[in-house]
Amino acid sequence: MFMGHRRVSAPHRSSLGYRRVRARRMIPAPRAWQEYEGAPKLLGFLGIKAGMTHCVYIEDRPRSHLANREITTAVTCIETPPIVIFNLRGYKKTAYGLQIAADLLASETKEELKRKIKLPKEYNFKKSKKNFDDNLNDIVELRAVVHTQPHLTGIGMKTPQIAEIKIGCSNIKEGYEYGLSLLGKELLIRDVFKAGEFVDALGVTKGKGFQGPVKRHGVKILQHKSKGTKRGVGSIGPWTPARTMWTIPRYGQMGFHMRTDYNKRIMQIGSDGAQIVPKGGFVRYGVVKNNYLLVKGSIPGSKKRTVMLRGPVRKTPQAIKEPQVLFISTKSQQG
Amino acid sequence: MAKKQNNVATTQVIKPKINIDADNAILGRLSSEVAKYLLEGYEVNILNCEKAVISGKKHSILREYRVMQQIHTHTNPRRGPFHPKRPDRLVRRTVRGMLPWKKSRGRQAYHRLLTYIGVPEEFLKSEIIKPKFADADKLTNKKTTIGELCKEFGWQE
Repeated sequence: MFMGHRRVSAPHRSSLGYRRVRARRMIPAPRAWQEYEGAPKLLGFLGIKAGMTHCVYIEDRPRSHLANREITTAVTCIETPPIVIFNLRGYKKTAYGLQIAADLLASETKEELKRKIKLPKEYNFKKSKKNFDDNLNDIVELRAVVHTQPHLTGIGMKTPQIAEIKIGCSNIKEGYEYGLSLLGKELLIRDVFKAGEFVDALGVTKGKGFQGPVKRHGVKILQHKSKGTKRGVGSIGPWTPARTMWTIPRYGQMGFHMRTDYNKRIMQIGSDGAQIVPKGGFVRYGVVKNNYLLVKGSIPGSKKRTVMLRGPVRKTPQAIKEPQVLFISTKSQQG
Repeated sequence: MAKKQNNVATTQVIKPKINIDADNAILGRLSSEVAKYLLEGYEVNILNCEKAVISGKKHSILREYRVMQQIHTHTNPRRGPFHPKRPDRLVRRTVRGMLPWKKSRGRQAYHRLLTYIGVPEEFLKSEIIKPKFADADKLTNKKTTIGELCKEFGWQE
């Protein structure tokens, strides 16, 4: 009955809003940060995806039809060893966007950092600090350059990963003093986020390789009598123009894209991994040795992959309510 | 085999660089004059690009540019033609339209042109020419600056 219309027009298969190309780097460089006013703090953190489990909690949204009742939900566990702030970076505003005004490297850095970058042999902290102080009036944005400490986890990775995280502050001088107090030191997840807050998860999705249009775009499989192929697009365009349009769902790279998942609620922040790790450990990950984070729902990427957790850019500020988690499943995930 | 000696480069006269202030200058008249300088071999820097003007009401100029911006490759818009939305790039693209772009002479001339938003620090001490041939004061009708136009395209100052 509706087939006549289906033949004339159809909804487009998959979104045209994203470029389906492989990510250039493993750690994202966010284009936007949370709008923040108040006491200085870092607006993001880095963690390693460990795996998923489920938990039971009491619904605390008053307008939900399940309000004050127990709900089961899937949660993602993110292991968050302390990050180390080894550099402060100030940006100045120019006609062509933000540009680096000054850098301030910590006088003492961790041994593992040498695996990732070359550090200056002779370094005068006082001189650098004076340079930073001189440029402080031009600086409009402060960012902390941090590195992770994957050797503290059980995943076998030694080389730290580096990212820039904005220091949120209402006054640059306050933010600078806060940054100086942290320089060269470790920062815990508790210093940045609290349970009940929302975060954005930025990361590289699981790679699927080179895929056809059925898997890549969700094109319908044709009937078995189709000539040539049945896992292809029925028509890739008209006689003229004699070229293929950019909108046609075609084969190509699928997965390993940089993606952002918005507004993930933090269910729990804990320090004892034994309480949440399933019996026998997370499959293809193992046990959680450090502080961890339970986030409601899923996040992009595979296990053992680093994700950036950022203050929400698309959420109006709300009063933070810590969810009452009653039970976390530790049932074995192996068969 | 002996190397060919390039005597041309040694005999060429090095022409001075010209720094032009585009503040209150009519875009088309400025560009055609700049194109002439470039083809003669001068290196030209255009400063204060966002302050150059086009004669006419803002909405009518905007309408013309919006029509122009619709021109793109039908089968894949990412292949261009690309429409600059930043004042310095827009001015540079306007001059490009007045050069023989498909000949190497024109391309080389184009590469001798640099455009800037505002006046960068390195030009503060050098001589800056105020072009009389493109003075917008002689206009009696309304005029629109490139900066105003580019803000409509999404440029953030």
